[in-house]
Amino acid sequence: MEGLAMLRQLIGQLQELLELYGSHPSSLVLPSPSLSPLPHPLHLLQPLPPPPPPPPPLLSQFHSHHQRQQQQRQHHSWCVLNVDDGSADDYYSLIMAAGKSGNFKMLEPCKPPHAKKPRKERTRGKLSGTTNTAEIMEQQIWKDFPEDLFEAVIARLPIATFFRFRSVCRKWNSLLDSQSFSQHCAQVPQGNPWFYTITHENVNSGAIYDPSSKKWHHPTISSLPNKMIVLPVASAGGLVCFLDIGHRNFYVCNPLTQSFKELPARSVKVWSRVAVGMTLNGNSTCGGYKILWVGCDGEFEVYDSLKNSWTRPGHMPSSIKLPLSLNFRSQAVSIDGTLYFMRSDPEGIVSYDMVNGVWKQYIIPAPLHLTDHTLAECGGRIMLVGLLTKNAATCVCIWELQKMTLLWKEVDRMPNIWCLEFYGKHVRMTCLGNRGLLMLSLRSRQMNRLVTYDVSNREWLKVPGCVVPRGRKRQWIACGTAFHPCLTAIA
Amino acid sequence: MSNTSENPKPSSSSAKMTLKTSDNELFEVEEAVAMKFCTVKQYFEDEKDSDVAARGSTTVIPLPNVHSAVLATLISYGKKLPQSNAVADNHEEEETKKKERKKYEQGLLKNLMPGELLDLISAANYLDFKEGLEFFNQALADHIQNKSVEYVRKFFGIKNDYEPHEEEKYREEYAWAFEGVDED
Repeated sequence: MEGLAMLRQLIGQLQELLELYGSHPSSLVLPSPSLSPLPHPLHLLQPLPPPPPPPPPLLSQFHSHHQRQQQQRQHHSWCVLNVDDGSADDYYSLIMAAGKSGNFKMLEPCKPPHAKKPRKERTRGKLSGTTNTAEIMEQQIWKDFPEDLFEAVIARLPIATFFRFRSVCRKWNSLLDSQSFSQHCAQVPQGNPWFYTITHENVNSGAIYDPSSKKWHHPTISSLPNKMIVLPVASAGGLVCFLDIGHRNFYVCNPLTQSFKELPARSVKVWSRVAVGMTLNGNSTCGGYKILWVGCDGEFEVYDSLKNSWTRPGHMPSSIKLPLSLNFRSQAVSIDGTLYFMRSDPEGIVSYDMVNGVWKQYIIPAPLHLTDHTLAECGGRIMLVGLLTKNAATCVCIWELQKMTLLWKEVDRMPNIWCLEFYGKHVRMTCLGNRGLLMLSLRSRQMNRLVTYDVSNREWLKVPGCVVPRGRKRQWIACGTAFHPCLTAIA
Repeated sequence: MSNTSENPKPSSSSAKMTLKTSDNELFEVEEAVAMKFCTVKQYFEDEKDSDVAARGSTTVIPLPNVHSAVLATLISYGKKLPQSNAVADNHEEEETKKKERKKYEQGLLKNLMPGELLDLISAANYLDFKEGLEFFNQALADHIQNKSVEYVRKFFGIKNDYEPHEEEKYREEYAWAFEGVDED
């Protein structure tokens, strides 16, 4: 009920604005209700006093906020809203949520939920039962461990461990800048992707889910523009590509490190909604990457990181029917340097070969009674995940594309017991990551479920709720993308 | 024993080489396995160039940096790896072999004596045995992955060159990375 009232209020405000500003019907600019005098937002991002000796690089990335109390003020910003079909609800809900909370809360630094209890480490004075003389003896020998082998071992540590061990000594900290370390990291087989998500409650910063440890991490990324809402739209090689909510500017960053880049402006006049895909040239970001945007009118551009510029490599072939009713809720899928996007009218997939610059279209009838569908990928196979609703029963289904017949074949469904929860409810699903390990957000008025589905071993798992440090309430995830955590990826 | 005896190629899979360890023990090894030790491979190819009569069967390759116990383990590990010249297995056989290998690997790590892991890593490094080095490096990484920073410093004898206030700040700001650490 509260939500409805808020929505009415918001719509009222928007109508007012439309009259006031007479804006272009396809875009709205929503000014903040009031701009209270604030310290410059960048100030809030600086490492806290006393900073005078310039802090070593490892400190400037994550920011502690001892003055948290003062900093939780009204903090508004401009949000550019694109009132587009189908996408409107996402944006409205984001803006509404931001309005509801009354401020864009400064994200608290990453502390474990039980921060008040002393960390386990502080009890390390006690010997655990497993330490024995054999281990102690062992420890003497390792002092001779060859220096040149450290990098190979450290490259094999889980990401969280690596961040912890950066504080072992300065040399280990500096590994992030080492070429040879980068090469070792590239050789380690990639595990599960992580998920970079944006929550309704904190639209300015991300919450990252690590499915291997089943933990949410809440780092703050200082370099992402603080005043705007940016959404993750694609990723490759450990980098995430963001687009601001007005579809104007692209940003690329490595969510784990400070590496960040704002891409040069595109050469378009109208900022309409676009679908985005990203590919690596080689097998790491050292070889560069490309980003493609494509709009419903068939316009597209490709960004090449090596040249740091956008180009228009030709036109879409006339065989591809325009307008492209692109499925903007679905993220693109990248397989061997080709990007795949879902379209409708006619239903199917359009693909772009990033290497050879060739567009193709595949007409593929969609399964019946399908909603909230999105493309996914696993081991080179193209998959589809969506909600199947018949009568009052809703179920999450997985299809695989049969290449020979160009038909979707159902290969799996969410366990019945879980689907029962949705019975009779109006459920919306968002895909927060679509490669190999899918992460799905299922929402209805009272329900907010997160699950992962491992395509290769057909395993459905529940995801712990996303709770900010020191918070209790589960966050609502608005959108997200999967990315492979890579310590050495450079934007 | 290698199952490559059906291989029709003449060169080989049954050809053996002799490796001599630091403690003067001799190991007869199938060529296919020995070739995974790139140092040995290099030596062997150099020998070939200098025109030795019989291929491998009379040459004894000295490994002065490797002890017999360590070499035995590395050879045993090498045998379990997919052989490059083996007849291609069907999917089921491949899966069975994979499972066997996993079981063997787990057994190997469980029974490792203190200090053996260091010897294995050093030897694999010296022999340029890529798969062995990856496996044992991973074993070491797994051993330390949940340990505290202090443990790691003590373990490797590393001196902490951070100022105390720097370190404290770092721990606060990366608190998420310090969760769930084993007690020392």
